[in-house]
Amino acid sequence: MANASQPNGVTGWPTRGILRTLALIAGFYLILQLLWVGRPVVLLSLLGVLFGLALSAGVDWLERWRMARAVGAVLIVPAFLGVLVGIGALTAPSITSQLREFKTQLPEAIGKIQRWVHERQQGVTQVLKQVAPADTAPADQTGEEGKLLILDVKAAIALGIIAGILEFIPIAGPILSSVPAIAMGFLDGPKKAVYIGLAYVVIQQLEANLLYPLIMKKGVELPPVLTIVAQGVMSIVFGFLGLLVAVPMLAAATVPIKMLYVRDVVGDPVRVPGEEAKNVEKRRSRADRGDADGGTAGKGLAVLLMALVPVAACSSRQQKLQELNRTAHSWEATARLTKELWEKGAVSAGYAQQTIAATAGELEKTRRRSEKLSQ
Amino acid sequence: MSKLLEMALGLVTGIGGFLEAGSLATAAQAGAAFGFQLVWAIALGTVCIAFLVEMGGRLAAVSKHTLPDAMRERFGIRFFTVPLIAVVLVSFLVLAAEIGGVSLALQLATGVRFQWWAPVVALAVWLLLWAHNFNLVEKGAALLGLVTFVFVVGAFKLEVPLHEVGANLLPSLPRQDSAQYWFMAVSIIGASVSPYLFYFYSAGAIEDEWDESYLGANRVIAGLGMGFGGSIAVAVLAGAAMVLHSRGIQVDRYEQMPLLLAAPLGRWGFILFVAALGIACFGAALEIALTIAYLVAQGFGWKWGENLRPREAARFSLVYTIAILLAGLLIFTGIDPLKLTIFSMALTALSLPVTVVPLLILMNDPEYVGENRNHWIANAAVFSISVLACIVAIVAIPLQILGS
Repeated sequence: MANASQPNGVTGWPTRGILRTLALIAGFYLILQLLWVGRPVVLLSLLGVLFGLALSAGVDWLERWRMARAVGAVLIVPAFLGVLVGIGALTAPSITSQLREFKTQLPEAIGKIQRWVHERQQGVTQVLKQVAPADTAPADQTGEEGKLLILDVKAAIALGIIAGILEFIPIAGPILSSVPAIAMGFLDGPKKAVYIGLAYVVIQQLEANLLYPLIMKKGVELPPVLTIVAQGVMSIVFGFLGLLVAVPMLAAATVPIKMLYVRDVVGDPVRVPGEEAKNVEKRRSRADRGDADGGTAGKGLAVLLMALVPVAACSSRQQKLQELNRTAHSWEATARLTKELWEKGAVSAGYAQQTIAATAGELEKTRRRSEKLSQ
Repeated sequence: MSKLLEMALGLVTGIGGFLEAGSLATAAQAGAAFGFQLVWAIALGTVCIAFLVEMGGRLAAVSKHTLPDAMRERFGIRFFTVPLIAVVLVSFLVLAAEIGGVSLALQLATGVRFQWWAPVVALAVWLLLWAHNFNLVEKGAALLGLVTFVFVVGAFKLEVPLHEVGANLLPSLPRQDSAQYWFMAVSIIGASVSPYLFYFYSAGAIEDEWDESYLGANRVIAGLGMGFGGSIAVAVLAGAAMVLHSRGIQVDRYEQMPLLLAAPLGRWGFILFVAALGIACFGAALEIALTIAYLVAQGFGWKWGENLRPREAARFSLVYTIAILLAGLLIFTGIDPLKLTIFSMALTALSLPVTVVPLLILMNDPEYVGENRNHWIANAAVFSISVLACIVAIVAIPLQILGS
């Protein structure tokens, strides 16, 4: 029956075709099963591929300066790991202490919000209306608050990490990440919480409209629905790490589909980022390529620095006060030693005067800074 | 005999030239803040600069090329502009720091604010170069620079525990203030591995018409000269650790630094500190101003030479004139010389791969150095120290600037 020709001339499925389809389905099922069993290895391989792709840009750059790829890779990998370890070593103590601070202060912050809302028994609109008059403070105070908003948010590093993690969740992630930050702001008062909310909106807008297009200019345009589905599936199968690699893996998967199917089979012209860059590079002179890489490296450096800024800016008020104490103690000891040496005739009177004047100036500066911090 | 004399002079120049505003300030700050803990950074920087100076001399002796000349020829003018801009920028900041160092020495001696001394110092540096007396001044400054040995005397007087110094030759993790610790470490490495040192040395070798018979002398000058220079820097750090760190004094301004010699050596210690600071910085200012002019002139193929009259090398003279004028103006504005010094040293560390990697490539190219190519140990040591210093600088500089 299967082999019989139909009266209208349409040929039916040959047995060989059916068997091949069944074999394909069985094979596909077996591969999926195998992938499921070995999913930790698969994830590790995917991460390895992504890591390799990211580092190959650096190796390509070194290759242009006549360095063998093997040597380039050997140099790039430890350099990259060195940066990671360096950042980790420098920031780990602050991150640990901030996470601890966050853990202890978040329940207190939530309690404060509940009390605050309960006291007023009013809607969000009225609450905001009540906050608004506080904003009409004298201009200098407003400026000071603005600075504090950036520098003095409690557990800022921990909040930054949370925001970074939630960034992987499209649309809802950035909104969710603002909630604990606003809650922490309530510890210092509702006005600060409002400022934090505004800062999140501004940063989100800057990121979406300025930073993201700048970094992803040469990247793959991914449909949002596909992104969300990929993130969902990858997080179910591979957990949190799957969520992390979902977008880059999806981007990598779209490249062969675009090249082999959309362009070669369907015949539509498509833009493939890597290939396009390669073609452009062919037209460029060697020095021009250096410039392009310089630009990429510059962007990379800019992103790294931007990542460091909040970490650096978040040294806590207590740390700053300790630092000021140390400075004051240092100058006090300087004055004492200078006096001692001057009495012994080891330094000139002119030098002693200069040092005492410098001590007075520095102590005054320290006093002003510590007053500013205590406000 | 004349070669022996040259070697001795080279050694003296190396010792006197190593210690300048940067290495003095960074070693004193590190000793005051972290005791002996950062001795390893000086050792690492000294090893790296000894290798680099030796390479600069070898390149000149074998290829008869100055470093910028060879770089432009080998990599093309487009690539050359990257290290050119990096070295000129960093050297300019270091030049300003040196002028600031001399001005501060004069302030310590006279009580007149350093800003007012800046134009005078800049003018003196410029006049000496303009009058093409550099050879005489260089040797004189190098000989006078031996006054920096006073730091070693001070360290002995303080009975520095040598086992502590030895134990800290191996890097260790900071016990507190990680950001400041790493920032200090890169500043020390930047101060030791100032590119102007090997660019200047390479240009000097060409002017003295070195050939392959100088390779042995070159090795001795680079190894011993830089080694002794590094030892003096360790003595500064040890003195600061003993006098300042033990009393909780951190070095925030140059005014605090004479204490580390005045405490063990009395009035003479104070006088010699002022002399050492002034002479070392003045010598370095002369060398750096010339290095900037060398770099630009050699890179663009202009006529150059420290003993040429200004009218014979007009563009060369114009470059150092502008550099000295701007550096003097920068100090005249009242910028804190110590902060400028430390910051420029950290920037030097950041720029190391750009300035060092092209030299490494040249030193492995048989077209330039024939059979006198680098040993893999030299390649590995210099490359890893430069890249590591750069990585740490990338992380530590923003943390230091924004964190505190």
